[in-house]
This record gives sequence, C-alpha cells and structure tokens, in this order.
Amino acid sequence: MKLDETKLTAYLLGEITDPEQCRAIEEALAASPDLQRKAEEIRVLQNHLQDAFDAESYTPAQFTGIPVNFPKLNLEDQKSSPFHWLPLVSGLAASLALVCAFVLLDFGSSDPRGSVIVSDPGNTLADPVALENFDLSMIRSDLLGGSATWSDSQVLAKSPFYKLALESMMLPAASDVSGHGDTFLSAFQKPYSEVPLFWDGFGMTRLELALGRGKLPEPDAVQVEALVNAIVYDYETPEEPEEPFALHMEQTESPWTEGQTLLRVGLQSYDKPLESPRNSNWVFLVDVSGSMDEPDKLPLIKAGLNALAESMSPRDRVAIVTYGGSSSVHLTSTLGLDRQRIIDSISALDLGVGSDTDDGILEAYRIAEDSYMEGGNNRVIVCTDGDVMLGVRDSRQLQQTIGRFAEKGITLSAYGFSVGLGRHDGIESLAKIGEGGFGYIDSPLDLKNSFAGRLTGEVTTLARDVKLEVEFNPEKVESYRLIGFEENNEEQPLLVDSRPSTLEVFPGHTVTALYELIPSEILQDPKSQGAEIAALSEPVEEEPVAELVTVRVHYQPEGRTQEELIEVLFSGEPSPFEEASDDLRFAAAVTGFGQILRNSPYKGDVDFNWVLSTAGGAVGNNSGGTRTQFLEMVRQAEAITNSDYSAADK
Amino acid sequence: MSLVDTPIMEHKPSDELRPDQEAESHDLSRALLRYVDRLTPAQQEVLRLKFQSGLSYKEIAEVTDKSVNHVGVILHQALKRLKAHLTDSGETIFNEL
Repeated sequence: MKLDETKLTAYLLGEITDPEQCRAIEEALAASPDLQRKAEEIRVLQNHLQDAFDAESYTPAQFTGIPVNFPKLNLEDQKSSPFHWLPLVSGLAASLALVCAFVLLDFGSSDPRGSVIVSDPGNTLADPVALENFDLSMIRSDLLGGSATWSDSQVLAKSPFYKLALESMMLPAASDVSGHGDTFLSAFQKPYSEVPLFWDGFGMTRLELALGRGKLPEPDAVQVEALVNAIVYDYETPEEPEEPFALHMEQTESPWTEGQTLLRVGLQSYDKPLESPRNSNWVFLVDVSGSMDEPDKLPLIKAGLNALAESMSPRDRVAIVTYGGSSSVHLTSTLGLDRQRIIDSISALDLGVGSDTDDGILEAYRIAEDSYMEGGNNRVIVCTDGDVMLGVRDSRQLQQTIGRFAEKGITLSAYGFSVGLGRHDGIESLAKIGEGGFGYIDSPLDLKNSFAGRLTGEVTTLARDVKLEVEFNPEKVESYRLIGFEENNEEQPLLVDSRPSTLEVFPGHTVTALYELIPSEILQDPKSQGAEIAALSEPVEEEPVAELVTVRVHYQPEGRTQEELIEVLFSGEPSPFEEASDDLRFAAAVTGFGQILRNSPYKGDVDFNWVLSTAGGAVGNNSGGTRTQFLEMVRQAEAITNSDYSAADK
Repeated sequence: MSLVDTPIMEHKPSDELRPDQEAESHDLSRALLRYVDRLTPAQQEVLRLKFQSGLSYKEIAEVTDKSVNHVGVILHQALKRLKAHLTDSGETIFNEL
C-alpha cells in the first residue's frame, strides 16, 4: 500500500483504529527503512513538543497567547517545571498587589478546552454610566434635513480628532489581532509580539461625545490605543519610497509603576504621493435588496458614486453590477472620459427584488477581467449595508473564488453604508480575503474623503501584507504588556479561518504602540551563568546579545511580489521620565488617562492632575490641534468626576 | 523493535534529566515554542488541541468545525514545518536516527 505521510502521522498518533489498515501500514513500514526513519522523526518531534508544552508554566487561556498572569507570582509555585533556576520575578508596587485576576481552568466541563473564569475586583471610580452607542444618525438627519440634536454636532464640528479620522481614512480595529488584552506576557515564552497596524479611528470621538454629554464612558468602551493614535506625533518621515517605513523607538521609566519601563514603538511611512499613480478599473457591486430602501442607504451609495464620478480621471474605468435583485450589469465598464453616461447610470440605480449574491460577485469579476488593466488598480468594490453574506449560497466556494482573483491581481474591497459604528465582521472578512480595503460610511460628510478620496487614493498604495513585529530579548525583558488593542468584547462569528491580515498601507500611515516592560533581573553577568552550564556540556557558541528589542517590518511593496524586511535593533537604558521626548511623555499622559477611565489594574496611582500636568508640559508643536483638544477633554472628565463625587456627598 | 509497541505519547519525566540535558531540553523547548508561534493560527490551534489538550482528531474536528481529514492534513503540515525549522536552525535531535 502506498503510504502517504499524513496517514503515517495519524497512525503514529493512534488515530487509526481499523485493524486491517493498521496491518497494512505496519507492513509498509517494515518494508521501507525510509518510512521507518520518517516515522521515528515524527516520534521524536512529538515527544519534544509534548515536553515543550508541558514546560509552559502557565496554561494558556487562549490558543494564540500565553498569558503570564501576574509577574508577582512565584514561578516555582506552578506545576513542576524544569526551569527552577529562573529567579523570582521582581516584586511590584502595592497597587498591583491589590488586584489579582485568578484564571481557573475547569477540566470537568464538557467543553474540552475547559472554561476560563476570571474574577475582577470592584472598580474604585464613581459608578460608571453606560455609554450610549455613538450614533451618527443625528448627524445624518441633521444634514438630510431631519430633526437635529445640536450638541453632538457641535462637538464633532469643532473636533480635530473627528476631522482627522475622516481625512486620514483610518479603519476600524483589525479583528484577528492575537489579543494580548490587559495582561503581561512572558518574553521567554512568547518573545514575538505583533503590533496591529489599524485601530478604531473614531475611538477618540466616541470619548469626546460621551464627555460632551456630561458622562464618563463605560470602562470597557475606552480604547487606549485609539486615544494614543489620535494624537499627531512628530516622527521623522522616510526620505525615499524605496525604504517606505521608518521605526522610532524610545524607552523611558514607567511613570505609574516603579521598576517598570515604557517602550514606544512608532512606525512612520513615507508620506508623499508616489511617482506614477496607476489608473483604476473599478467594478462596483451594489446591494439593491430590500434593506437598502432607507434614505441613508441606497441614496448615500449613489451620492458616493457621484462623488467618485466627479473625481475619477478620464483614463479610469468604472462599471456597476447590482445584486440583491435580479443581479444585473447596470453599467458596463466605462471610461471616466464618458462622465455623463456614468452619472446618468448612477441616477438610474434602483431597488430590486430577490437575492443572487453569488452570481453578482461572479459577474463583477467577469467584467473586471474583461477590462483588466495591466499594472493598474483593478478592484471589485462591494457596497452594502452589512448583510452582504446573508444571500450567499456557497460561502466556501465564494471565498475561494475571491482569494483566487486577489492572487490574480483583482482585489476586492467592501464598504458598509449606514451600518453604524460597530464592527461588522462580514464586511471586514470579505475585504481580507479579497486583499482589499474596507470602510464604513455613515453620512454625506464622509463621502468625499472616506469614500471617493479613499478609492482614488488607493492607486497609491505603498505596501501590502505589512506586519510590524517586536521581538523581545528575554535576557533584558522579563515580561511585557502591549497597552490597548484589546480584543473586542462581542463575539462575532468570523467568515473564515483567521488568516494574516493583508490590508494595504497608504503613504503617510503611522502607528504608535506602547509597551510596558518588566525588565529582567537575571544574569547581571551573563557569562557566569553560561559558564556553569558550559562546564557540564559541550561548549555552545553564544551570540553577544545586548539589544532590548528587535523590531521588524515585513511588507510587500506595491506592484512587486518580493517580500521585503526592515529590521532595527534597539538597545539602551530607559531615560528618566522627565527627560523623555515630548511625544513620549504626551503619549504616556494619554495612556494614563485611558487607563484611569478603564479602571485598569495597571493604572498605578496617577490621576487627572498628573495627566494634565504631564500632557500640559509636552504640548510641543500641537500638530493639528490634537494636544490642546485632549487637555480640554481631560478637564471635562475631571469636572464630571468631581461633580459626581459632590453629588454623592449629599 | 516494532514501532507499534513503542508508546508514542509517553511523556518523559523531566526531572530524570541531568542538568546539562535539562538545559539543552530547555533550549529546545524554547526554540520549539517559538517556532510554534510562527505557524499559522489554524496550525497552532490544532497542534495545541492535540498535544496540550490531548484531543483526538475527531474531537478536534468537532471543536474547530473542520473535517477529520482536514485536521490530519493541518497537523501533519504543522509537524513538517516545525521539523523544517529545527533542521534549518541546526538542531541535532534527528541526527541519531
């Protein structure tokens, strides 16, 4: 019998129970020394894997992370570990000692993975008031002539954060981030940390609206990374598009926990428009099903398409296919030159009956292929209110098709119109398989920038498949915590297996991530420890290791298939906090503020006063007015908290 | 010695190792875990469900909503990948074979 290796593995793991098959496999093995060797290799590997997993001192609460629950915990208390020579983790400030999250695994439950129970101590702030979901319908109705609520509009109108969010085309947080949550991870066990490149661009605005209404936000709703990234930093930009990313690291003492440090990792991309923008071949796939019959749905899409028709270049092409009705080709691929024809066809878009999503998508790809532009920007763009996958007959087949076309150079993007500001995994997953972009449009305000501007801006994609990775050196770092970027609380079923995100990065994109580090106290003199081990075994060549972290950006430059890598080693002692740069001190102040609002166990003993004085002293250039606006928000939060307390006294 | 007789999943008690062996195995475990982290999320999940939680292919298939065959393929690919990482980095554990 021809024995394939997958079957061999299965047999070795005891998965094959049929005696006939077992006999056949054994015969095949006996006859082939080569197979025997392969089998032995698998066996050896399995044993070592088993050892490695057993040796993990902490049982993972989820499969993509190995949380170190509390640095305070003595490693020796865990189940027997061969690593007893690791020292006790350095003690922490008393504030941390007050907060313990106990993670218990219940192996008796029917779920084979066990269940995780986390108990959380009570918060110390005044009772949090629930944050109503940021509802842009007020803006919508405002602009479309309905009844208006001015206070929210006024807040948004004067908010530089809102303007920046619209202008800079930020996307909602990537949903497949391997969640670090608010926990420290061991640098020894999990030295690699991936920094998400995107976050909720409206995170700061949500906070503004809550404060504008005189309320503190719900702790879980505060997204620290969104606050930190809403501020404009003065990073130097790369000179050449050939090296499109610059990394800016800085380390300082943690202002809220003694003995710990803050590491800022900043990514700044080349920010000038690229030399020769490509022409576009767009095929819009518009949802005309019943649910689109709202004044802020199909009409909004039509307005968006009009905005695009006005800004597209004569050499670009656009076609429109509808679905959710009798899927039909509404407009065949037309050059921008023929503007009137495009505008007329947009006017004529109307609702249909029935549903035929699969055919609609295939039709759109067919058109994109027929008018394919060599070296151009070829895209299918799905426009819907969110129910995009409901009418699909065969989703696996569809996903495969979309993935195949993406490989062939026809990407798929997805836009949700009037979906509201919650995440909608259907749209995001679709865009991810299609390797295109995604976005949410809620008002005519968004169209010019977030929709038309985005689409015409996509011809200047800088890079795709960008992955920002930080590797910690366990000899310098005991454990680390990525601040913010917690996974969204709602469980939404994902369409596909989590695949690496292949979102695109445009010129000027910047991201700032803050890590809190617990430095390693082992090995003041690495050589003495090494010498002990060396005496007992073969001498091993040790590389001199002095860096704190190695930061890497993997990316694929637009238009090329070769993957590139930028790698930077960062070392050095942390500066005293007062000597850190304006950018870092301000970011720390914003983080401190976010942690107070979240009632984070790591917030230490900083308060609003500390935030105000720290941020106030680090205003720097105040680019975009974001820093003074932030100070305003902190004062508001302080006033709200004080009035809550004085009300409680009565 | 027939491979059938050899217990595959027998766990070597770590405290029976000599200190130098312990250090070596510590390095290897650490390297292995690092490589595991480099696998795709699907591979990592299946690997851990198998070797950490001790589920059978069938149980893994149920939990991850895949077919049993698919699970077998993912697991095999994961092991193959790990082996390649180890060999590339100069690991000698396969040399005695």
